[in-house]
Amino acid sequence: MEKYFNKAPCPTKHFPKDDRFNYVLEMAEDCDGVVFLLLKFCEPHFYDYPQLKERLEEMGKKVLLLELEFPIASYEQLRTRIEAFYEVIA
Amino acid sequence: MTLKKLRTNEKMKQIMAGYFMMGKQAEVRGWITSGAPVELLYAMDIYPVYPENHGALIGAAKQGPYFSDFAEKKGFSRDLCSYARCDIGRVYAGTSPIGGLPEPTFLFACNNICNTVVKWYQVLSRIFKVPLFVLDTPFVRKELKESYVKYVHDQLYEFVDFLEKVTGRELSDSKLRETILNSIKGVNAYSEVLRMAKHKPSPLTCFDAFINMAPIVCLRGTEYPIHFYSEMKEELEERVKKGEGAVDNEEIRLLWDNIPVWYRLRWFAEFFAERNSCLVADTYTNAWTGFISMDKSDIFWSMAETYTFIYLNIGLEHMAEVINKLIDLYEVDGVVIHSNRSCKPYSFGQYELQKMINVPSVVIEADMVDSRVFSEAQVETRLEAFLEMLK
Repeated sequence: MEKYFNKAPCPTKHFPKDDRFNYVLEMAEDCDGVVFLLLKFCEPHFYDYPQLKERLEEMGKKVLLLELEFPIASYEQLRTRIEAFYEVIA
Repeated sequence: MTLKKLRTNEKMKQIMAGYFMMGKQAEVRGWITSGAPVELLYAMDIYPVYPENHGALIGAAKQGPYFSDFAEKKGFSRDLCSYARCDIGRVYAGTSPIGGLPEPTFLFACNNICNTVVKWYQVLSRIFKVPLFVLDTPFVRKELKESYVKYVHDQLYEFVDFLEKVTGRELSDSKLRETILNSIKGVNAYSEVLRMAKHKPSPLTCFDAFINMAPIVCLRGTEYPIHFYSEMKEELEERVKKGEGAVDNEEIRLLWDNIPVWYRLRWFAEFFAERNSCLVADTYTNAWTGFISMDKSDIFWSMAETYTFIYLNIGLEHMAEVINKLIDLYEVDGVVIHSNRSCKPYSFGQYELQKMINVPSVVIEADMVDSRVFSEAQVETRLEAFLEMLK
């Protein structure tokens, strides 16, 4: 029960106090960058992404969006993008 | 090819111009989804603003890609609903074909039409920094259970509390009853207009219904739709008396499924008219044709039932039943199914539905507002082959 309620607030739910945003922003405080690993057509995440990204960038964080489809067709492309993101941060 | 226009189209434009003017003067404005119980707003003199209607308007003005682009630049994916993209985009753009929408005092999203509206209105509430109320309606897979209705019923009372807090006004019971009565009268007048399509040849096409649907969506609960639709019905009766059809030499009668392709309304209307085919009815406008119950002792219960059991919130068996009823009522020969890239709950299951309905059907792929995904040649080929088969 406790485990269930301590899970990350899911974007498919409506939280009047914007729990999801607060959760992500708080978690991001100690990091340099945030990677959004989103599954194509997952609407709830894609609606949150632009405004979350904006808030994170205001905090000085770097943001990377990776949009995935299953099965993953191009691992090398992903590798390149992640390496480039790593270089931006480092 | 000249299409037959209804005189009421002009009247509709006047009414809607008046409606938009009202918004400029209104003290309290709520942005509301198309399937939400607007009666509560009108009963408290709150002006309802319809971003979806505005999205359709942008689509019809063929400016979908233009406004969508503003949202896409902010990072909103192209896979998201084009009404939402256009609406969010035009907020960033600061303008629209009608000079934008009046800013909201609060937001009201009811997820009986989709869960997209919840996310979309969350985005808006962060932009405008105003409160958002979400009315959560359970999905009705089989029967409408009492527990579902009770859940929605309780939320309606919570919503009234929310409204009273936001506006500082009190909801009057008599005003609400009056509004609901107007709503029922309006809905009935609108149904009668749509039912005119039972005549052979049909005096109206679904395109006439689409063009003239704004009053029942935006002004439901006021007196405007009641008068407007009875006037429209009179005009259609004139046509029937003269034996005049909306389409010359009507040979094939069809049913349209899903939201119209707003930027191609005219193209579709001409395409079918040229081939003596008449889209006599559609599942979209029919969503505004009925209160499923009216128990005067508990109007909140009736509202809860009506707004939970709506077309996009029911299981496929129910949907097939609705379509088959329409097929019988309007004596249609075939169904044109628009697989709408934007509207997932409306398009999901359409290939299943094809097997469950009693007449042949064809699926065309398009989007209601985003003209970038419309492929004219492909749609034309499919429709032509379909009509050929029906003849």
